[in-house]
Amino acid sequence: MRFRVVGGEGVVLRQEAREVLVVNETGARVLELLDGRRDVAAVHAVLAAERDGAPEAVRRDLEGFLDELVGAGVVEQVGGSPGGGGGSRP
Amino acid sequence: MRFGERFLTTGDLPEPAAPAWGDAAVALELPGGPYLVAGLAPAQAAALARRFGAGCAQPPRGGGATPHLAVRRAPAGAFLAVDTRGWEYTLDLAPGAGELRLAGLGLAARVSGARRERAVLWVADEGDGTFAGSCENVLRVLVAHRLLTLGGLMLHAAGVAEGGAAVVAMGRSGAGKSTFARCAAARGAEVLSDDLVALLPTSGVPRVAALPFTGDLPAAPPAARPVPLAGLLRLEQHPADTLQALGAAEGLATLLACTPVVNVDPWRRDDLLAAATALRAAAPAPGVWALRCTPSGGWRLAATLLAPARSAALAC
Repeated sequence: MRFRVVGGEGVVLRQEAREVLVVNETGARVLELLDGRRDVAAVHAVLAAERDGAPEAVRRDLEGFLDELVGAGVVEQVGGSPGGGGGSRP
Repeated sequence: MRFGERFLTTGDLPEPAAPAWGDAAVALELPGGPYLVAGLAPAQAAALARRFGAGCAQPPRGGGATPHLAVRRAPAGAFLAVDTRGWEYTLDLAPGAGELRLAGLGLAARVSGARRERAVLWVADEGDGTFAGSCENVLRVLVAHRLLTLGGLMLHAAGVAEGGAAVVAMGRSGAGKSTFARCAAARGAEVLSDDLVALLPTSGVPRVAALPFTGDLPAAPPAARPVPLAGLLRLEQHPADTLQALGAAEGLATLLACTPVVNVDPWRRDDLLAAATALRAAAPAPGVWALRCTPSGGWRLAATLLAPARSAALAC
């Protein structure tokens, strides 16, 4: 595990980049759900059930956030694209 | 850049079977210790005694202390000449699963074990010049890892005590730690260190201990007792003086960013996350403050966190 959730936010320790990131509550929840077993669709399903927003809006937010995490090297894609059927893991 | 390329002629550590410089040994009273340093020539032992003063003692009978540093002779020509003009001193650190390799100006070292508690230091200096500094560079690494093993942290921070408690002002080089400490000292406070301090876990509020690895100012004696933590601060230079509570995540991120040596070692990552999380939670509320201040205004604000300690001292 390379992150911790404290006070509802996530703290990511990126040693290879020598930086520490703070992500918001949604970002922290996404990191918790990216356990290497869930694919993106499964993560989306959990978030949509937990939040009041329209599922499509939740999906767009999730895809955008995953793009940021992949770009920052916090998570890596495991097959497919972040918005497709593949998964991601921290 | 490859490990050792800047400092080592062969680009890697010398042979482990190199002979010791001598039979002398000392025990250094540093937080998490004592730290046994063995294989010393008499001049090297004397150099450490001068450097660490009352914190340098005869080792206990039977030796075997953990952590342990063995000093060895570096082969002739092992180290590259380095032009140090305008150069900011750094070390090459190469962490691995079972060992951590270090290389620096006139030194090479291997720190062994998953918890990095035993080290071998190769030097070419018999004790007349740079030996104490080379030893200190490896000791910083040992101390950082030893404190982490005990649930504590070595912080890149100034520690200042007054009335039996201490504030810890974290910040990178150039953040103003030495200036903060100097201002505090001018107003009668005790400087534990202006560069590195130890934050130690207890069953309650963490305690702060001096480390003799200082920047510009002399440190408190290493045998000084740890004092309760009154406040953790993130120091930032600013045109106005403000003290603002940081959120839990940002406070934890600050601690992680200010724990040199261990925060770049992937094999200590989980220990570091656990220790930093626990220490932030145990620190006086709110955990970490952002101290944004002018050069002379920082201590005035920070001292307000020591106000209960000041009142208690007056009442005694």
